[in-house]
Amino acid sequence: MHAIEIENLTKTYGNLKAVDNLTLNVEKGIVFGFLGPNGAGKTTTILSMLGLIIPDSGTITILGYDVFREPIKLKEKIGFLPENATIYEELTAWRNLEFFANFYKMSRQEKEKRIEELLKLVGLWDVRYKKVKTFSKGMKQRLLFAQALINDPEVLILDEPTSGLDPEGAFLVKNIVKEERKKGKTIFFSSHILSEVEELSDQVGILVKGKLRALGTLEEIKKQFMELEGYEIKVETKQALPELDFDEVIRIEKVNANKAIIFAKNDIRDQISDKLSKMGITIVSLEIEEPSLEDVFLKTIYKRE
Amino acid sequence: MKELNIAMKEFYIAVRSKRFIGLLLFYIILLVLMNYAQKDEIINLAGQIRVTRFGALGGEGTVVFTAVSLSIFSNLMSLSVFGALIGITLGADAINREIEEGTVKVLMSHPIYRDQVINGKFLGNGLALLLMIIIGYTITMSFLLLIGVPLDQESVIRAFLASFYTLIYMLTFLSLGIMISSIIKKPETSMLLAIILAIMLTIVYPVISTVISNKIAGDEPYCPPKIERIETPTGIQEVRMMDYECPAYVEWKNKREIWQKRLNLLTPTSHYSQLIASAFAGDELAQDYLPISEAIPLAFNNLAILLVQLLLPFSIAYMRFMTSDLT
Amino acid sequence: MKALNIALKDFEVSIKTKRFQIIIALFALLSLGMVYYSKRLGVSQELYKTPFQMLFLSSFSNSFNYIITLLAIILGSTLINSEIEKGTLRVLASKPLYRDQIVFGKFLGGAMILTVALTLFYLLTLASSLLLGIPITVADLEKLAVTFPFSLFYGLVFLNLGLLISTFIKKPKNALILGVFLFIFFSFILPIIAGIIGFAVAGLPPIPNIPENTTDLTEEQLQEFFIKDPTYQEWLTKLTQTSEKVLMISPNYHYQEILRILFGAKPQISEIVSAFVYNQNVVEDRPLKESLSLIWQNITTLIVMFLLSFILTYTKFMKMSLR
Repeated sequence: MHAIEIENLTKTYGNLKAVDNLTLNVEKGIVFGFLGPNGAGKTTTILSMLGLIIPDSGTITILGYDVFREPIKLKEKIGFLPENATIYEELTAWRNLEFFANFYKMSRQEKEKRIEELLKLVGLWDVRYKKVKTFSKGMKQRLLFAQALINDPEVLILDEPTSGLDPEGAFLVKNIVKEERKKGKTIFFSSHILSEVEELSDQVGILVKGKLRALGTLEEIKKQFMELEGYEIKVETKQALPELDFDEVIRIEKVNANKAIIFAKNDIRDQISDKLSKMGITIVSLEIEEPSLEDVFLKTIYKRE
Repeated sequence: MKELNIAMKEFYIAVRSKRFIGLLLFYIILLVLMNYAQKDEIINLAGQIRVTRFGALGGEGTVVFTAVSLSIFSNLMSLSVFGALIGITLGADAINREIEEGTVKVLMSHPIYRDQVINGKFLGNGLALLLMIIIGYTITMSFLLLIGVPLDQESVIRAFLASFYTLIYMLTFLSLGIMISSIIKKPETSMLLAIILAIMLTIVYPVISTVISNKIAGDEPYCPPKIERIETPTGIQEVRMMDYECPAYVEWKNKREIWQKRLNLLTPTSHYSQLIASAFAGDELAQDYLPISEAIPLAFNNLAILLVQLLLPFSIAYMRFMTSDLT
Repeated sequence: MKALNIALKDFEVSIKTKRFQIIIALFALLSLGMVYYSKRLGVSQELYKTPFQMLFLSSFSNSFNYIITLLAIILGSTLINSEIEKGTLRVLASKPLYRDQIVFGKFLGGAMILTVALTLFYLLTLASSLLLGIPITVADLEKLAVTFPFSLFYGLVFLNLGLLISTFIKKPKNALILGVFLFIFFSFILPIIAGIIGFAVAGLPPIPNIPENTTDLTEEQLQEFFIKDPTYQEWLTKLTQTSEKVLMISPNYHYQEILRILFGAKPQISEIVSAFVYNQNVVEDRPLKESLSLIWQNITTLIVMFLLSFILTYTKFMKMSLR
């Protein structure tokens, strides 16, 4: 069973299809990075997963619970960090967490222990009796994050978790995500910070204009991308480079006499090294240039529209 | 008991808000002013009972004024306008502010149903209204004790009943406010609209309904004075009958009153005014309170209509909140 | 002079806002409407001596009162906090000037706006009277001129109240709502409550002892019984006195009294009631000095309100952090 199953989800606002027949499954125990440019429909998808937006059609199942039929059982087991949201500003940090904790079946001691743990985790223990109103933006975001963890959820849904955080705060959040993953939790997070997605996620999905353009592990996506876009092989030799005319070669960019970049349909490094060694040419380096996620991302967005 | 959790949070936030404290302050100033204005009369009335007819804001009846009832009567009547404003402003941004600030997204990610949220909100803000009424009640009573007026038991009981009616009246406006906040997206807009609506319903509408019922009834018909000849020891005298009203006039008057009543059905204020008058209902012959078992049925219809007016906007708010996207 | 600089800038900014233009349009409409109606209705010669007296002693003066209140309080309530929100006040504060110069500047700017608005209103009223052929007497002009400083001062009271709001409420929109609320409170709620309290204390009017043998009494004669009846007079006094006690905190009430007396209305309510009944003049010729002596308490109360709100604004602003 998957942790999250989204099937044929569609939501339109007027003429705009925010989410267009989206189907997406997320396995248990992984970190799933949900990528997409602004307005791609990421937040609409996420809010539908919480039942905050009622989609036109489609079903969403999380941990086997239908979001619209069994919202309460579902919400017992998930935690959610919304984007651009605030927490009750008139209440103290402690009271906020206590308020949210009251929605779960926890004994008083459990609650207090959990709140203390979380406040220490996000570094707000010293200001726990201060009104949230007095907090900085980063502190509010961290408290918001703590709120998502209050019930020790099995699935964490994070919408732009590090937006508005300073580097230290972002580091903290990333560490918590890693810790939760170690505990076997599923984490679904959206982001537009590619380095973050690259660092954290086991699987990545790229959403463009409400449609899923790419899905899989980072390697898989990159491989798909390279098959489509071609392999980029860098070669450097001691002697002058000879002509390399394989069928697979698309084009060759010569940097200088001994250096070139070869664009090919396949990974033809073996054939190149064979040919060069037969000709008695010494290879200084022969490597495949992996595309960065940024390349993949940008090309996915702009190329296939 | 998740509702209660939300209600307590709402209550806590409501009573510590500048809005609530400011309104409470205004209310207290009003109370002090009213008591100051009435002080002489209250002292005069101490230990006495005055049965009189009273009519204002679409309600009328024979009421009993003792020192206690006069004081609490004015307190509660001032809430007919002011309380409406308090109620509606407490509700007017209850829903859309949470949506705008995004807290509802956080809230709804926890295991609660949407109806628990709206019920909790109603309950919490209702508690804040109750608190305000209790504070006003306490101030009025302490003022009476302070100037040395004894509290008579009957009046205190009636005052309780009237305060209960006041709570229902203010809750009616709270639910109107919540309805507005579920329909209009911007909290500032809904707040202004709510204030205007409260003023329309409590102040402007009664004036308009009077004008309309006068128009419907038409011009006042002319009544020729009725003169009767009476035999007296000094001969036959012509006497003009003071209270005589010709049938045309009576018909006109009735028509006007009926239309006035019909039009007033729409505004909660007239029902409230009637309810307060009934709580302090008096018997002119006995020069005392009407027994409570007779006083309550006097305005039973008004209570029923008021309850409908409470539930209707609330159910609209409920439906809106249950089915809308919370973004 | 630094305060004046700020005042001029505020004046320039405010005069360009839609809010101000709408209120000026309202003023213009009101003055035209006032004059037009008084022409159509004609002046009941028995009650008033000149059309202008009728204008300022009838319910039109209420609307005039409302509009001044609304303009002043709306103007004031966003003057400071909107600059804080936009961050322009921080820029301003970085310039070599004292904070009190900022407050005075703000106040002066508002005062200028009010002066312009009111002058426009007064001039428009005169102009439309001339256009529609309503005679203007010298006495009327005198009275108008005398009321002008009071109208302005009354506006300043509400301007200060608005400024007070704008230092205490951070969000301009919330401040605006509070301003509207205060306007409604003083203009509508308080008078209604005062009326209710008055009736609750005084009860319904007493029925006078009408002698028997009243064969052919006319309506007027019947009313005369009411008026002359001492219990009725007592009732009327009780009613007004109780209401006036509640209205004590309302600047609107004090201003209304000032306008009424300055335009020569009879000071006692019972005199006015009987004047209406007998179709006599509700006004009397009275030297200005005497009128002023009748309303010095109202004037003092307005001054106290003015000072109190300004001092509160001032102290709050001096201690405020300009974030």
